Amino acid sequence: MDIGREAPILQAEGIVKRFPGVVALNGVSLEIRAGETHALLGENGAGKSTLIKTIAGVYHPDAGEIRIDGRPARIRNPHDAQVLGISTIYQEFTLAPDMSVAENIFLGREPLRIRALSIVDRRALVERTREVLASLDLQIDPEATVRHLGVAQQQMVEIAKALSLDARLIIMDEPTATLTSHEIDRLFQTIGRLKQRGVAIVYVSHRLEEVKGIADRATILRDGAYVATVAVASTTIDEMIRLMVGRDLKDKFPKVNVEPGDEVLRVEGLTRKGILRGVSFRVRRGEIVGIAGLVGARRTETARAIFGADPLDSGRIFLHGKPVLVRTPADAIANRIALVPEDRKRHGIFASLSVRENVVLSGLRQFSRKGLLDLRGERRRAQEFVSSLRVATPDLEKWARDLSGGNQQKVVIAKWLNTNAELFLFDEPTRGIDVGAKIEVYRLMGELVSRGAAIVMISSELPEILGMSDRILVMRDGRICGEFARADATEENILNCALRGAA
Amino acid sequence: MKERIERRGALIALAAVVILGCGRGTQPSQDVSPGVTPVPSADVAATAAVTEYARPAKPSRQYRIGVAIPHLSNPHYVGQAYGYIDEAQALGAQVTLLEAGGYQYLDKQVAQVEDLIASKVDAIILAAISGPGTVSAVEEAVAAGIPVINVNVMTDSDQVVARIRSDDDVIGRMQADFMGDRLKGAGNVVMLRGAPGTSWAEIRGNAFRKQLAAKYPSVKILGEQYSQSTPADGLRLMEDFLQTFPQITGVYNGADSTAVGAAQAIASAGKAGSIVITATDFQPDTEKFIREGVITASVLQQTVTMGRWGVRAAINHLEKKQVPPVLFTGLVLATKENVGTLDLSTVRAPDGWKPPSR
Amino acid sequence: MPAVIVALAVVFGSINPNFWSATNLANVSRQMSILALLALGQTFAILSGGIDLSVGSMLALVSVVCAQQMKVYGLAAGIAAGVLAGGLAGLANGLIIAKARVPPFIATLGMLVAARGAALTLSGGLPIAGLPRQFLTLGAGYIGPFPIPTVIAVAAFALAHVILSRTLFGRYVYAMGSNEEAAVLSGINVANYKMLVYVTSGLFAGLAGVILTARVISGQPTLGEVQELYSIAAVVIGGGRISGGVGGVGTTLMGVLVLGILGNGLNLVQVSSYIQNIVIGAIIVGAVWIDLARERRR
Repeated sequence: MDIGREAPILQAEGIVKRFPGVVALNGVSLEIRAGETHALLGENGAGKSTLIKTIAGVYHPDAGEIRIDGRPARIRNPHDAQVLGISTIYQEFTLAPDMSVAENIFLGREPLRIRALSIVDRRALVERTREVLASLDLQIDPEATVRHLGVAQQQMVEIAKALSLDARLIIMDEPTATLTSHEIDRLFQTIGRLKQRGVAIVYVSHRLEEVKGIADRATILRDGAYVATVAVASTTIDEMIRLMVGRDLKDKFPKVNVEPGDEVLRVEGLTRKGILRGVSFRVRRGEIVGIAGLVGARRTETARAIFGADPLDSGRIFLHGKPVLVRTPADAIANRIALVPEDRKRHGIFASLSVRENVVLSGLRQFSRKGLLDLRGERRRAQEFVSSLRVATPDLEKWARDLSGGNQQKVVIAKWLNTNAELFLFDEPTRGIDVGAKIEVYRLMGELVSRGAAIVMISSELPEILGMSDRILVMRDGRICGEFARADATEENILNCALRGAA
Repeated sequence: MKERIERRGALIALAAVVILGCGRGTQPSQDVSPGVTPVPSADVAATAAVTEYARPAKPSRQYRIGVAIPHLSNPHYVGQAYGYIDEAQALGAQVTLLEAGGYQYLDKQVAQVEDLIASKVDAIILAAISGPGTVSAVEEAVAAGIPVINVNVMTDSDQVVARIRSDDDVIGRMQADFMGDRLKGAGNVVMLRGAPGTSWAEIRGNAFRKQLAAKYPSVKILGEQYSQSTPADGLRLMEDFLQTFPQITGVYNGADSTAVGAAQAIASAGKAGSIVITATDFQPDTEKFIREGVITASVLQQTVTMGRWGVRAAINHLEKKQVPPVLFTGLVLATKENVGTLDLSTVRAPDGWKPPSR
Repeated sequence: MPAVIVALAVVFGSINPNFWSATNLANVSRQMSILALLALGQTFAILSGGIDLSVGSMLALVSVVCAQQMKVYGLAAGIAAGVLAGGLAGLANGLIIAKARVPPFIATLGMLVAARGAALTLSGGLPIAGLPRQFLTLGAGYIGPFPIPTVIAVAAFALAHVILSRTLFGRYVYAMGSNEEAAVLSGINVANYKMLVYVTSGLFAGLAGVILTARVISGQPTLGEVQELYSIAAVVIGGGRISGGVGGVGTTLMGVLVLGILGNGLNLVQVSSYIQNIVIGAIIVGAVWIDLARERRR
């Protein structure tokens, strides 16, 4: 795999990074050479984001070493990274929308006319910006307000900014997620120019066709571990997928086999302009239907639409064969639908309420007698759930905020169990929780379906989807592009469908 | 949790202790006196109002007098405060001076009177923020055996021992006489009446109109406006009036802060000296404009005297002497001609005097 | 917090022993009762993740409406009209916040200005005197050794405590303040409950306004300036979190006591009202800072 004899500008070795309850990186290595475009591949949760953030100085590694030009470097914060020539362009741009291009590029380093008074030399500012933009052959007006530029142009401004900082390594995180194909071409041209100047690029992306088009080498991570580094030219996409995926599935998923009953949910043609394009599927009693797909496939939006949290332009929802109108979450709850949201911190858990209050919240009316709440009854019910779900908390009155991620997730699930729902929409149910808690959630799902509930499970973890689902739907760009029965589904064909849209 | 309580407690206690030695701050506040219904004229007519009131002999014991006034942010009340404090010193009495921070803080004044009652002062002197609003406080004081002397701005309660003030009716008439005279019997006048709802704005303005109508019928009143008593309001209103009525030859002011603003507007318009401006009271800017001939005349209230008489009435009552129920302090008309010769000892506190800081 | 209050009382009491006299304590509690009622309403607003800047101006509006109606229709009608005026103003706030989705800060800021303007317009800027003498008892009277306003405030606190800790409405208020999006997704009709929050705040302000009017036995359109800020201060000093979800009747009570004792104590030792404001400002910032510092250390 020898590309050339150029010395690497960045070497990361044995990087370990732990977060409470999970090991995000377990001895990962990465080597970047000057002028190369190096792709970083892996599924969601493989550790790509953690790795680039460690290099960018946002995280501190628990172990391992980073060397720049062969010399060990300590990157304590993003500023240190910048000084070492590492710039990162995230998916959410860090530009000040109401300032001009020039002001953004030289933010904090403006050329000063009178240093003592911090008076900016506007002419020099615009001149130097023009130079930087010209070096990338970009036709952008230095005095244009960033807010008025298109996304692609904003991205170019970010790249120009990195260049003006004399970056030798630019990390791009999913750069093409929001670009049109024409803009992607322009981006690739720019990357070409960067290469000519010896700037190295770490290119994080799911889009393997693009990776094939632009990268020299690729490093694959899986489950926080380093798998391999390959030369892109001589590796097929299938091989890349296999490297990203291959693992044992056995026994991590306590799957219960339940004979599916009558149809509980059927949705037809769910449409919302620009978001959902005619989503149709059905779920039967006792079934777990998994929905796979990549970021941006609009799976969460589908669940929210069914739950009444988002509006629909058209489409119909049937429960037990009868059409229902679900316009608000309260409607959904009344129809025995539950949604365990993807972002539990923002949408699921009430940090400053006690565990008990969280658990009983959605079904609170049951505890209201003559206008007053039956606190003892609440405590009893909450205790039942805390025990049966094994939520680790010293007492019920502790604030939910003090619980670990896994236990918070259990509390959120408990809240929904308390509403006597029969259709559960789980959105990333085991994200950010440790292995032990994950298994308990799976067991719980099994119990629910054996007792006659129906489950729709959105997940970005393929093993989870494959391990737990009876049927698997794959979504891409707001529509369902494939359906697999449990027996027929493999990671490869799911990923293929998700990446390419081919069923 | 305990740690937080302790830290918070330390902070609060520290703050409370630290400020106990601090001096006063000054803040501008507005001269709004929300609501005094005019004192029933019966008490003026029935008993001849007293216009001279000598200092009594120093009493045998030290009395404690509580004083509650609306605010201390213009020379009028500062002068009055000087009157209270200086007179009390001469008579061997101790004064507790409380001000409410402005005419809009009626409930604060009521609370202050209640606090004075709780402190068991021997007498209370009150310049009331509101006529009806202070009735209950006065009655509570009287019920607790504490007599109340009403100074300057009147309360509606009839349980006060004495009322001491300028005769606002006379003030209005004096301005009308001066205006009519200077305008030689014919002219166009606008009125900046001052704060709506206050006794002084009502009585003075009405007296002005009445006198003009009776004695100088050819002097026309083109318009009138109420406002807070600040130069900014006077400036704004005068500019508007000048636009609307280019033929103005006279401006009446209920108090003098609006006059200062009006004077600035008139001077900027280049009409200084050609428009007659009359006012009441004598803050330093008013004096300056009178010397420059921009403000033509002002009726000076003897606010220091009001303060002194308040204390005298209180002491006399406590010494079981008769106190006249109504006292009018004198008025002087100040013009460019006599401004150099005026005795201001009854109108203003001495230069550099500040109300005590504790 | 109780320790702080006792400490303050001891400090002031030692400087001026009159602090402990029955009259003074009765006065303090009576003077505090208005702020206490406003702070209760404010507690609901802040707990729910919002804020009510209009309660001070509502005092003025309520006072004017109460007085005007009382002169025409009598004592009971006047009192009812006053409280109702507060409730209606609160409803207006609630509609703007919940249905038009204007942020509470802005909506109640608008009401602050509008209510004051309405009070001045309705009254012509003049106070309304000539109210029946019995009305004074509401503000100045006693039940046993306790001033009537104090008794009313205590009852209001008890009621608010029950609502916040033992009813659906109360629980939802906490939930909305803790995480509004999660509350929506948990099936709570956030819009309706928000409206109820502001109506509640308005009703408490209405009650406070009626009592204050009784105390000064006249309708006064200039009442209540700056009181909204003190009501917020009371909630926060006691330990309520300004972003919502944390706090309650107990913490607000502590805040009210601190402010009340400080105000009275500083008066008794003759500190100017301007300096009192500086002190209170410092305490507000200090109390919140201590809270946040504790949060950050977690």
